Amino acid sequence: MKNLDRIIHEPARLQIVALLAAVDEADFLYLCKETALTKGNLSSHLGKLEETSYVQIEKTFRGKIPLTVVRLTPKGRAAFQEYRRALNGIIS
Amino acid sequence: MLMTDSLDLNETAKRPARYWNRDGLIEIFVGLMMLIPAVLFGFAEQLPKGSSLLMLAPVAWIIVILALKRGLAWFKERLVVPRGGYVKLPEPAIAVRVGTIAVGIALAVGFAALLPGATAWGMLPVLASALLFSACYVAGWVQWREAHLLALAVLPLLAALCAYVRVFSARQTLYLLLIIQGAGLVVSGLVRLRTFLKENPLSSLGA
Repeated sequence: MKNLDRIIHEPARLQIVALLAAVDEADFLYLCKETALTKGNLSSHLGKLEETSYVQIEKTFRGKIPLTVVRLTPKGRAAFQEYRRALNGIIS
Repeated sequence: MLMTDSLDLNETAKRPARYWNRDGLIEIFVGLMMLIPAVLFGFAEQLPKGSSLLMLAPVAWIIVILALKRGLAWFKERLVVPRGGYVKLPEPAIAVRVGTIAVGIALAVGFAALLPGATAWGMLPVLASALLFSACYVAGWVQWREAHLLALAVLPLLAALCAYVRVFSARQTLYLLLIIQGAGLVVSGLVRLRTFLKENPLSSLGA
């Protein structure tokens, strides 16, 4: 268990990273709905993932509506793959 | 299955694609792609041979496909994104795109070569495509566990059975296959879109 990345291992962040790993990018609303986290909670977890450079957050506008687009960085993608490998190792 | 506590990672990885298809717009799009050419080419057949209007059917089909593609993006942008959020799925691999186009061309060439004769051999590609369509829905159900795909899988088989009982020509069977499936997909897509809009009112969350 010590090999597991603690940043990713936290259940809410794991869910966020697992969702982002399956897409090129997603917005805040989608992540909020899929994870069932509150706005504040999601912001806090995304902040932590951004601090470790696992995700990139881009704030733009679609027309007049603010749009926060989140994508996994190559470092975040590699960390998630490593996490899965480590988890597989523990299971087998 | 790779699970941590209560989170299934393989299942989670499928959720964005499932969300992308949940609103039914793709089904409506594919359904119209089947219905419109069947109606267009069926109408073209009623025209006298050698009519210059015959050339319009394939052109109209291409225009319809392009318009439908734009329409799909427009509806996604205005109906789905403000309610459920925006996701960009990874582009399919080049091999998958080339494979899909190759299968499409092979089917088109098969139909073009065998349909005009309307012989017993002419029925083969039509019946094969009924089975292929049905298998596609079943494969979709196996992957996504969406029960309505099993109901849709019955439609091409019903069309083939109906054509067999009524002794339809290969061409008539092909039109029936496209019309029944297209209508089925459009109806199922509309029901799913209505459910999606009901379950996802305009969000106060903002994006």
